[in-house]
Amino acid sequence: MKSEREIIDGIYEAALVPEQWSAVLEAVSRKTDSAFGTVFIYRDGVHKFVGTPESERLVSDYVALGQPKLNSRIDRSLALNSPGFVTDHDFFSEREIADDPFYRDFMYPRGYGWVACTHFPLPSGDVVSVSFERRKSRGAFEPEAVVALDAMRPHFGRAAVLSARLGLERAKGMAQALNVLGIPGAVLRQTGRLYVANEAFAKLIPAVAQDRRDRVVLADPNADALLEAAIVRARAKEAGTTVSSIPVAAKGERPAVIFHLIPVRGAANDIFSSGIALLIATPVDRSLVPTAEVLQALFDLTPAEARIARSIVEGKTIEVIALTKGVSRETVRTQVASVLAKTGLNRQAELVALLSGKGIAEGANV
Amino acid sequence: MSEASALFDRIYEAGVIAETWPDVLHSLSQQYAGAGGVLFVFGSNGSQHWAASPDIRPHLEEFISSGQGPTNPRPAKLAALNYEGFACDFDAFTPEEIDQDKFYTDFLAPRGMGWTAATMVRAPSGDLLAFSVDRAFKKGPFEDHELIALDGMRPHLARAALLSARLDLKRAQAMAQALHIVGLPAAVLRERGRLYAANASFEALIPGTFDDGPGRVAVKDAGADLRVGTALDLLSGSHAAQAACSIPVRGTETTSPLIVHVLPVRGAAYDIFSRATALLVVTPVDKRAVPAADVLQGLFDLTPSESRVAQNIAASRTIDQIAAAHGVSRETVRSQLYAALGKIGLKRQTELVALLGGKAIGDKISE
Repeated sequence: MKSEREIIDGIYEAALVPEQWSAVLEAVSRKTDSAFGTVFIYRDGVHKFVGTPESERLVSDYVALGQPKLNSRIDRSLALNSPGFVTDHDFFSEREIADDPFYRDFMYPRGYGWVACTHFPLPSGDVVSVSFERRKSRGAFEPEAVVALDAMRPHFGRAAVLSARLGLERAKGMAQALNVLGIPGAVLRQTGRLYVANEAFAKLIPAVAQDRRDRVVLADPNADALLEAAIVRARAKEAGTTVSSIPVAAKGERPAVIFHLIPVRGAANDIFSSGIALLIATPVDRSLVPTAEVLQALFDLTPAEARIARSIVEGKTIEVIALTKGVSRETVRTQVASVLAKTGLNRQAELVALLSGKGIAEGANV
Repeated sequence: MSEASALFDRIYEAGVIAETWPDVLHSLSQQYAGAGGVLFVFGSNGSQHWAASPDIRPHLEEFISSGQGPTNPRPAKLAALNYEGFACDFDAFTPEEIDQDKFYTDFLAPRGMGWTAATMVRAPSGDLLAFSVDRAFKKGPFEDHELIALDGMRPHLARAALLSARLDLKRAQAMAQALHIVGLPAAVLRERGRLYAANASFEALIPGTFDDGPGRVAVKDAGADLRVGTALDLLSGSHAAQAACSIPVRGTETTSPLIVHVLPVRGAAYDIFSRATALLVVTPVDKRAVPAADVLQGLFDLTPSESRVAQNIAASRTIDQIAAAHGVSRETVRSQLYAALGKIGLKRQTELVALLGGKAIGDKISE
């Protein structure tokens, strides 16, 4: 059996590595002579859970019943608002238990019947519950068992808060990485509300996008209708890995922008992280072209060839290049042909397609 | 709630919000009549970071910035003890050693200090964490019952510090993941250019294009590797921002040409566990996806056929190819193209390619 110290280490580890929850709950179950343990989180009207294999089987059975209100323990134990673990007799009389269909028709036929549970309301409004179940034949949780569970309670509570913080740190990391590349990016919650926005995205607020109470809104009404539909699709998980691209036409000095909403799939057992999506903006402009030095090194071009390749990618014509460099059109044409040969291409348009949009560093905000 | 339990909560809070470490170290020190608490992180690669309570911070800064004077013999002695608890001066030194050691006589004594209780914790990453509480000389050395009480705090301090480190790794992994989602192979580098976290698309470039050795990440192309090395050297200095650069890597028979971008990451100065120092981002030199036809249509008010032609041109197809694929005449395609160019405000086909090439990040997603 694991020592108390090892179990507590495990609780904190599970906060950041959710695959560990099953092992931690198993260890606490053994220590308290329970059949299984479960952690629930109640968020946005939905219960998610993680537990030992025995727990997962039972909860799956329960969900399959399609009677979410049957479990009378949740509301009763929550109403106690106790800062510790509570057991059946804390929130039900003998009589109530005998008459309760949840015990009588669901738990008893499966051999279970005694619970010790506790709840943690989080600052976010979510509620996390930790519960352990004993077999009916084993008998109710004794006061000593409740004391042992209460000793571990602060660690479960901190782990729940920690898991929520992990979600925030992850979202910040995602936004920061995009910011380093100069890409305006925001992480949205499942509801479409802004969770974290990077500096580049913040510059689009409020002219292009707005941070509203219910969700992120685009200033352009046509684009916003597309965004709303995309958020609904992402939430319904219809989108899967597909991306919704939402164009916003240029306005005044501001170039056209394409928003991309990309659902981010979390690990299945990571019940604490809320469903999220990345919202990224890519400006449609022509400024991102590799430097002549980069072109030269990539394809063994001469300095003159590299300069011409860059001019072509910038959209200049052979006439304009000839004029600005003070050489004949034929010279430029020969150099273009030699650039195409070295890059293995046939047409100028292919060269542009190959090289445009490659100069991330130039656009980066570091 | 008892005082001890409140301190536990704050210790764990520091595990998640690293900027609260100085306050927590201050409370810890106060509880043992200390003159200051310090958390050192000795990186496995020789780096040193620390957080300290405000009272001892100036002394520590002075000691580190002067760079001369006596060396602090305590960390080496403490590491050699290899003791899973708090140790005091007499556990590590004889009274004679303390009387003669320059660090005690020339640095601590003039500042009124002299006693410490400290412990070390080895992190799974190989980093070494040290917690210490210093105490004024006149208040006398740490006594056994105080060391036992500190030992009671040790598992909590250790867990919180490990949480800080782990959370930082998770943040770095999320950085790499975000770039994977937008279709860019990327790695997060820590000090001296070592690989800290990499996304799946970057890992696919190992060992073809990159090598992940015990030292810094390396590029197979020797010329490019030299330039990457120069950029990474700048990262550890005070001019880290100048490390930003784009380095072309030539293709070989089995690998494509690509561009490696070194982008320094500005870390939070207060976060001693923050390890990400740079992003290594790879942009392939190849034909990139162009926006979908309906996106073009929305952007520039094109008709469906105009946007289809614009999309095909941006994907560098010829007018002949487009005409053949859609079963229409070259003249029809040409007039649709000119209508599209007019609406977008461009004159030439190549301008269209330049404008739209590589803009469809979403289409590049790979799971």
